[in-house]
Amino acid sequence: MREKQGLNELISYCKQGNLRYQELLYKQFYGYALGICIRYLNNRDDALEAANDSFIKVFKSIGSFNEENDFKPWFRKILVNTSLDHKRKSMRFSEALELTDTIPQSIHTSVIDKLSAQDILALMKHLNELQRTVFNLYEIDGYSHKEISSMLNIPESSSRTYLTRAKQALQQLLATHSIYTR
Amino acid sequence: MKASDEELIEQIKVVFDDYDDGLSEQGWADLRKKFPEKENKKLPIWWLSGIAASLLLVMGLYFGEVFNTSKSILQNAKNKKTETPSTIHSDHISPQNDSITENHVATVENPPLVPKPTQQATLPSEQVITENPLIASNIAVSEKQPDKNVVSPVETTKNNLPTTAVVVDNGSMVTNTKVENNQVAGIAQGEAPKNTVEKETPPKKLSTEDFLNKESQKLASNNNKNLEKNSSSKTTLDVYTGTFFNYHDNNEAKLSAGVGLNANVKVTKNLVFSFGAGISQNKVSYENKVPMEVSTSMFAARDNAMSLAPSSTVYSATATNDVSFNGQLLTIDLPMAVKFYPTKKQDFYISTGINSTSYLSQKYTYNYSWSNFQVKNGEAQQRQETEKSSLRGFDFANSAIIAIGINQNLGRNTLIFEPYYKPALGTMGDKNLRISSAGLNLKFNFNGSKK
Repeated sequence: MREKQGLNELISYCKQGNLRYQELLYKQFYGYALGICIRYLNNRDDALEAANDSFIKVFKSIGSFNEENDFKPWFRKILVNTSLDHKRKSMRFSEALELTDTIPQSIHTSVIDKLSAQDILALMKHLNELQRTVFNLYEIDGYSHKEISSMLNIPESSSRTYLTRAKQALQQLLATHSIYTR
Repeated sequence: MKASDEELIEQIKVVFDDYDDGLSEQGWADLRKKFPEKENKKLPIWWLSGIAASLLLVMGLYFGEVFNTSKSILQNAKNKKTETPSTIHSDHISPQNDSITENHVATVENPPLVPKPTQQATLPSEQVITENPLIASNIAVSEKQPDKNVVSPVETTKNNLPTTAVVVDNGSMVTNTKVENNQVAGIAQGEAPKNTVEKETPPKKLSTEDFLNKESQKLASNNNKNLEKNSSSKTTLDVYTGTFFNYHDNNEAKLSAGVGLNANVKVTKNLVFSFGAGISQNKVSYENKVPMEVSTSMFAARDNAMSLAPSSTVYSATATNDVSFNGQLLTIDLPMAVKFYPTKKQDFYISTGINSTSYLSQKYTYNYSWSNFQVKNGEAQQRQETEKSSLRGFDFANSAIIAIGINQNLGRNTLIFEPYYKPALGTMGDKNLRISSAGLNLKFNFNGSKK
């Protein structure tokens, strides 16, 4: 509650255009922003650029933000959209991973628990851009297939397909990773 | 969904929920390269354009006036030139005229069919003007050649002015034509020779003193007319552009500018009430001594920020030095003043009044070096912070107006040079700045009355 009050105070100062408070807000949400952007862009430099662009959007439009609402979901939308814009700009759609028909092995949960951010990013790198994007949007950020369809301008059915394939690929990759780390 | 999928998704959420790589300071420095955006330069250009346009307008009107004056002087000179020959000729030729007249009169045998022209009677002093000195010889020729009987005018005046004829001996007739502006009446048989006779009473020759007196009277009457015209109009409008310096204590004075509109309402013969509205950009700079009200506000804000810091280490043990402060205020000025014209000519006035201010936008920039002993071992870092607000605040009578206006007539309108001083009576803006200013207004006064 006190944290929320402090955040609201911070936001109200940011609404006045006070650069000192904007810096505080930036540092408070830096990790959160970078974490979201890096999942989509898979590259720290690109992620930082997208995160900074998102912060600038926040500082410019924070006047329209209603402090009664939660800041994080509002900010997350900005981060996701900005990341997608960056992705569109770069149009780096890597080749789809050749999926084998082999049934994924069961992966020990202890392996998953030990996955670091770098491990996950390394796994994600093996995914097709669209698969990774759909996976992030649907599974991590909670968008529906309908929303994803309009965001990425693809049919809903394609969104489902990309998700399924992303999961299959991750299972395979995790199995490999599991064997490798065992 | 497989359990391993759920596990993976949960792990991704946990890992990336706060992906802090410890480089937020660097990230912030990167962001500051793009934000806030550089100051839009449109406004100063707009001001400069306004000032340039005003100067051009003033210069155009001034030179237009000068041109008109030169034109009228030239016209007057031309008119004088056209008038002058009569006097000169009458002086120079009068002896000839005398002889001519004598010759003429001598040749008349019969009484004239028409009454003798009066000018002949009054010659040589005023009436008969010959532009061509050859006239004497022409007439003499006509006299010497009696077989050429008729001496008739070749040209008549444009105005169909009355023509009088004089019958001379042997039936020839000399026509005297009333001529304006040295219209030339020729003698038919002489072909080329011209004989001009002016019937109108020519202007009396003026001595230099008389001439000067006359001109002075003309000027005086014009001035009186202007004065009457000016004094007759109850309300006039001023458009002004001003450049001025704002200062506080011994800090650098900053050049600012403004434009506006004033209405002047005549209260008594020598007293005018003036009010209006203007827009101006005020810049202030505090480098030597930041005013107490600013530093208090600034350090209170910093302390507040420290208390809200996400981590106690970020702003712990800070020191702030070398503070400087700049302010930019875009204001609407509402001046009210009384103008007193001490002289009858009303060519200058003394003005005093008050100015109130409303704020369109306010921008304050703090520059300071900032040391954080937890970061870079307390190495000082240059910091800049900005505060902005718009459409906020109104300060009534926050400055006094003391001015002197010098009028320069431009035809019906007036150009006014108005140096002024505005000592602070109150404070300005969110930071309660106490600013005095001094500058020059260039006013263009439109007379409300019609011709």
